[in-house]
Amino acid sequence: MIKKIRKYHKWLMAFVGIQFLIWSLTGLYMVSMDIHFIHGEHLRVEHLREASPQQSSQTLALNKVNYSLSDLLSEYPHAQNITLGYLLDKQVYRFMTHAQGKVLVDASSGERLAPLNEAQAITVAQYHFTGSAAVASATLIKDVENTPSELSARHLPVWQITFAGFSSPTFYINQHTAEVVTTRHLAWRAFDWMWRFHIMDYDDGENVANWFLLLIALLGCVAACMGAVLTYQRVFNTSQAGAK
Amino acid sequence: MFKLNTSLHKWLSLLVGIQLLIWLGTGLYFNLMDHQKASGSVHLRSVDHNAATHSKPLMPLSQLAFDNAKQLKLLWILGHPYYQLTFESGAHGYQHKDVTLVDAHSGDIRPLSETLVRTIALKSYDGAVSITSAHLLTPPIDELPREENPVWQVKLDDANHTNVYIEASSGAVLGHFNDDRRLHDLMLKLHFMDYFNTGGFNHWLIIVFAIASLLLSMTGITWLVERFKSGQLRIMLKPSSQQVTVTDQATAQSSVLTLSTQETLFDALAQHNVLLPSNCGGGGTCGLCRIHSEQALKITPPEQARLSKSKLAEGYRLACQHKASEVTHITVRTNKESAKAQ
Repeated sequence: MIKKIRKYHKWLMAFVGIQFLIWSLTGLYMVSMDIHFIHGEHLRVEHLREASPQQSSQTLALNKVNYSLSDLLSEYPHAQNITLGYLLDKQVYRFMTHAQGKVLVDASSGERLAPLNEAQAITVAQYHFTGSAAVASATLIKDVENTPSELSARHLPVWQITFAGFSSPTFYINQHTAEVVTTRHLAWRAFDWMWRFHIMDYDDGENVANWFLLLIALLGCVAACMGAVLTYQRVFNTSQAGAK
Repeated sequence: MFKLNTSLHKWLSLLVGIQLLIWLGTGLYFNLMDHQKASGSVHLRSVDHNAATHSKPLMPLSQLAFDNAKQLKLLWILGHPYYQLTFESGAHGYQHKDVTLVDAHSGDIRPLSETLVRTIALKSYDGAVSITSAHLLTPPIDELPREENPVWQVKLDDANHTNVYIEASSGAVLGHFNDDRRLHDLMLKLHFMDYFNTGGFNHWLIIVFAIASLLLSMTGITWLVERFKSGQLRIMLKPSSQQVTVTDQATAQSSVLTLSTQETLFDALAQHNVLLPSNCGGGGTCGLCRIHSEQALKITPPEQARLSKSKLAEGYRLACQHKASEVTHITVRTNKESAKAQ
């Protein structure tokens, strides 16, 4: 019995053993890297946090809001998710309408702001970036076909601003609202690949329910159970009548 | 080296074995689960907060008696306008935030009332259901381990024991927690080894276990490579056999057996009911399946680890390390039971 189990353990692991190595390696990376670091929180100035010594945090000056919400609602009656905040040092409204999509309006003049051009997008990225590296590239992404896999197409259109440096910190900035929709850097990109290899979905890493993972995990389960029997036998059972 | 590798493999498997099976089992669950069910959202529907008409004027922002807000949002909760003032918030919704709800008609602070919360909870549920209880919870919250802000919990009396969680600072439904969701969260907790309720996977226990499983995989693969090198991991397409004269050490009786060359001597002999003593079942770790041959046979790492130099020099080897094709005459010592069987 033990003999058969040993043989099957060996042969099964010869097929799925590499995946056990991959599971442990990718799992170790994912649990040992701080998830807040992975999410690039260190790259972004938290403008909504308490003011830090280096960065004065801006508070709203409500008395300077000349274009009132009532004005806004009469001009854009179907505006939804209206938020008053800052774009650099300017107070702005951001909202959605069915007809116009995402809209950005100057809160002191009521003037609708044009979509960001390259220079503005770079300024916005630098405003949010904690580092001081130079800008390596700035690309406007408008089409779903040109969207990199690390960005969800629902954020389009966005400016992709990549800073120089080993980890290529990248900011994605919505062209209409000038908000940072997401960031990426080397460790996050590596994390995404680790995840793909962990769940054995090698194209986009979105499908845990793939048959390949099912097959290997099932075989792995059988192999691991046999391994458990072998360990039990070797650690706890010292009698010599094993070869039956 | 071989001995170190295999004993490491054994002791590491003892350390991480149970957790490894938990990882595989919960991994299979994630592979097979119904995503919508597991997220608790089978009965979840979006709540329409928009007002039918908003004729009453909003209080001008310049008249609001609040300084130091960093962001202001016009929030509709069940048709009534609120100003949601954010004084502080983090990168994630669950992180601590300082938010105040103000009635946008009167300008007064107006936290979410229990009546509103109960209405939102019922509207978020697709189907007829009634409320058992509603409480404003402060962290730590059992079912939302990461949450750092107060949250309303509305218990419903459906068969699936649904709890609706509603963010106190916005009236947003954070989710429906029912028995399906609880099963999913339990599986996640087991997979993340979150036995101390951190709500995440960045903790020392899982890091130690991940390192141990990495070593377990590496020692296993090293072992496989060693077996492949000694010819015990090759697929033979053509079955072949070899005539071997096998002498029993105890009885001095010899017999000529036709042994399969695809398998180790240990396994091939067992097929002829010649059972050699063994603890490990042919793994090269116990050193009991000793045979003697006059022929010059190679010495494998397990043999180096298990047999003394003098025994090796005398011609002793382990049956689990050689193939029948390598020998023509061997002497064996067998189990009592196999002697009886013969």
